[in-house]
Amino acid sequence: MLPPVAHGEAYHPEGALHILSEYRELRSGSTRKANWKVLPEDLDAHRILNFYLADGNEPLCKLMLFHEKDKLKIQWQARGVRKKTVFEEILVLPDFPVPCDILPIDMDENTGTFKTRREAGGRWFVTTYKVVRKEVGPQEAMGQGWIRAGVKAPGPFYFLNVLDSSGNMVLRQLWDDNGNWWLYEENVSGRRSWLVEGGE
Amino acid sequence: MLCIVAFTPVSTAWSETHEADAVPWSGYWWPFYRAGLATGSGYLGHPAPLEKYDLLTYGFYPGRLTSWYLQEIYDPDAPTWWGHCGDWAQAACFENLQFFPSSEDNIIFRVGDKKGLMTLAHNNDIAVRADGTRPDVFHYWLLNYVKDEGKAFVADLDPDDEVWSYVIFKYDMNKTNSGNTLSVVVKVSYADDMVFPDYMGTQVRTANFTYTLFLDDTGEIVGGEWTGNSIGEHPDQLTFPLMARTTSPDLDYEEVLRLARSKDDFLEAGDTEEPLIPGTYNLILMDEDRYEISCSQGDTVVLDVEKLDGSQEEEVSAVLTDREGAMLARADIFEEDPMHIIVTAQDPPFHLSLTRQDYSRPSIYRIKIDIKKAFAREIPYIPKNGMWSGFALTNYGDSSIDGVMLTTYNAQGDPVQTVLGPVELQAGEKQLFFFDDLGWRIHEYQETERLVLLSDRPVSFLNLFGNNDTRMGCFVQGQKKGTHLVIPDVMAPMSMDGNMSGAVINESVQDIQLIMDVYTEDGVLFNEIDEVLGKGEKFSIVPGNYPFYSMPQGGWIDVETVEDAQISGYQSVSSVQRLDTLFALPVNAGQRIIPHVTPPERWITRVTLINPNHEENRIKFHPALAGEDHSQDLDILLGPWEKRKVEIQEWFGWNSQDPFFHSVIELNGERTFAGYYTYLESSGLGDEAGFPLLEEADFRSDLVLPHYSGENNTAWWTGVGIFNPSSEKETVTVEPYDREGELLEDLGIQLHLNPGAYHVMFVRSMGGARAKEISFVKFVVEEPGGLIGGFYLYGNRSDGMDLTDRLAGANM
Repeated sequence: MLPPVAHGEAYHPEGALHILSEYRELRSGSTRKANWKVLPEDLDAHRILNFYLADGNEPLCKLMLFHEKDKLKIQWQARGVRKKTVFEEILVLPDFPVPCDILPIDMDENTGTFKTRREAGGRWFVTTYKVVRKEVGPQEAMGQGWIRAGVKAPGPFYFLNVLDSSGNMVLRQLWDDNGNWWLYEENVSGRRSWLVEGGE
Repeated sequence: MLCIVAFTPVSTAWSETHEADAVPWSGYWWPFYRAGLATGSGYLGHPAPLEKYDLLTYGFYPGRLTSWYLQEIYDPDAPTWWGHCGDWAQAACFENLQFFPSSEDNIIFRVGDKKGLMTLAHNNDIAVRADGTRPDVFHYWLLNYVKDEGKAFVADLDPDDEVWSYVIFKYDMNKTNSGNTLSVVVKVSYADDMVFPDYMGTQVRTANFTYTLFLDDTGEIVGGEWTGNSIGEHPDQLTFPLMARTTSPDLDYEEVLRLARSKDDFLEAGDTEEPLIPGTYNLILMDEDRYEISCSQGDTVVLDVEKLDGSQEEEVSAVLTDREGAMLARADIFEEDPMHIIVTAQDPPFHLSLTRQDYSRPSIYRIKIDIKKAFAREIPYIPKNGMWSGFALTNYGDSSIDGVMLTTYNAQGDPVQTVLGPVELQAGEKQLFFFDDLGWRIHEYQETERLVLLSDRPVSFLNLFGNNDTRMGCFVQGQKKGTHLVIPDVMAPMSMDGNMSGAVINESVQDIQLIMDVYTEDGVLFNEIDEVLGKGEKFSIVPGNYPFYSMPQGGWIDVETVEDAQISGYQSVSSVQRLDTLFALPVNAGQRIIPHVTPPERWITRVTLINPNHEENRIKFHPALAGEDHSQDLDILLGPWEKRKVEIQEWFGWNSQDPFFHSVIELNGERTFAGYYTYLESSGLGDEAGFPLLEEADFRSDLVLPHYSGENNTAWWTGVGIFNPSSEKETVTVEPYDREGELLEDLGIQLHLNPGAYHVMFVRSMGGARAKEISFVKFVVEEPGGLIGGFYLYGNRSDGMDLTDRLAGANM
């Protein structure tokens, strides 16, 4: 078991973040890119993360992070929809184009099981995920191109892997032990994203 | 959002129906192998939707957007099912629009054009994309988007390799709860894309799916499986667009949205009658369209109305009435049966009304309207090779003139656009403008061939054009129309001496037979050309092009019509340092005048004579001041069909001590002839200016120099020549006017001209330093019934160089 890490500042960047995402069409193999900027703001005890396209002026997605009964709550709202959905401890949205997934980075063990619950039309839809923390050597992190040039990431590094109930990889995020934002992420829908600027 | 929920309390079965707030629109899926968006294949041909966008944006097509599409998207080898169905579906899902055709800057954007552009604007959307092969996911999307959000979403409705995307906007669902399972039968309604691009509204289709959802102990959905036929036939990818994006760098989403929202046309300004002035209008009929045609009594109105909506549906009815409401014409206009009316105005204004019985599907139609007014002046050539082209429009009369217009025409003689007016020109008002200042539409620039000034009464209209560094040309039409004209200069294709171009224009409202005989300078028939020229049509003369593939260097063209219909023509001859323009010369037998012969030291006065007869023709040059003394005469004997150039400055360019100094030269032929005179520097360098030989029809009791460059006159000089063609002594008052049209009385002078004498001067010599106040100059004969003739000449004053490299002028 890896030692538990203290990530009081995870998903709490001090300033704007810039992220590059690459989307691979699973059928055709073609790729498209998007540049994102994440603008954090604090509202009372809540941390708000606004996800914009780099050249956009309206957020595509807005997260509000707060604690309730010692549990992390994540309120998520996408552009163009009325509904605000509150998740607990984990936000995994493999269908959603914006790299805004929030993982339980401060889980005590290296493996944990989490459920996401979404309501629609009066019914609740439940998905169960297994999250596994796995150390990654600096050579591999660098050699695989997961860390962009110019991003300060001294390490050590580890992945948080999210698996579905069948054990298939849904999402993984690469973290620097001292970072407040992931360095790299990829998900089952063909999206790969890199932290380009910020997050130190 | 429609919501119907019906509970069946005795069982655990219930049903519900929900529909999105907006029903998505059907659109075409534009297969890649045809590239219809860029080529019009499968639609209405050219211009295709992207070509129209280029046309609107850049003024031509194919432009950057079309080229990009053909480079990046078009794939003739693509599987036949590859296309824009997913992009259409995202657009239809995202954009709550009702499409109508509209006319944008006179370009018709049909429903298919707009939907096509909107489809491309969504080919790279930021979108939620989910795995619809999982029934629990599909169920979540139906409930979340359609029921909760009131929004449609995109679905590929079967799991085959081929992707066919549609927009689900409604579902009818029956659910049965049994233990830890929930059985679902759902019928989804979706918008289809198997429609013609111009389809308006939504073609609805439905599909049925069955599945079972798995519930945990708390009744929450944790998974599911397809049942029945849906095991093999069920949705695949699901998409919900969040933001419109396109991969094209040349397509502006906001502009596409503006186009998509636009409807009707630019002549619509509410429920009022709109003025209709000469031009060609591409318009939409969405309700009754009413127009007022302002014209003057005696004007000829030529009106064409065509139906262009591509359908054989109901006709458009057109009714034309006069001021009192009397019906002048009525027509039911079908696609193959346009309305064509030529009417002389007796009781103007006219009123035109266009209607149809059913407006549910808008009609597209075109109006061409031309008005022949009492006074027209033609500018037959618009330079498009980087030259500037400037105009001076002057009302030199004593009262204002209303309804003055400047209209562009294409080579077919169709009016394109009225680019100036109708305006009221106050007495003495002069307007100066460049062609680029006029509000022509960029996509009609290339087809714009000529300009016509229309007015109820005479005004002066001068056009100067040229390069910034060298060369200048001038067009002032005067009365140069007729049934028999001469294009006096042609050049061989690819000649080392320069270029020649020209045209003949049918000035009538009927088709005419045109006979053009091309002769060498020596009078040998080189080519015979017969052409039918449509009303108002312009027939271009460009050596090397049809039908002038071969042309004799230095030759000329005899132009005649079979009908008694007026034609005009022009030529432009240019070389590196020279540009000279002339209207086609009239052929007649009357006496001609050369109004000024330059002294031989610096200038050449050259006369070009043409004998349009199959017999010899002796042309006699006679100084008018010599009276019956013919000792100074010059005889030129022209052979049949011969053209000859004669330099006369040594013969007639007398100095001030000579008794015949400043005598006009009279030219008389044994037979009809044509000709022009030219001034050029004897160095052989510099520009040159040619003028038709003056004739009796050109003489009047008052003449106008339409433009003096005033305060800018340090760069230019303006010369004027006035002569007395009569047998009586005449006193001519020279009246300079300022920019406000006020007479500068103290700068005026009087000229006393003996019969046959002329006077030449520079305008700047009038009033010294105050000459810069002069805007235009009138020359008025004091004696009632007296006649004068004249010309003017503009030249530049090159700094430190004794050379006039820009020279142009006209007869007054």
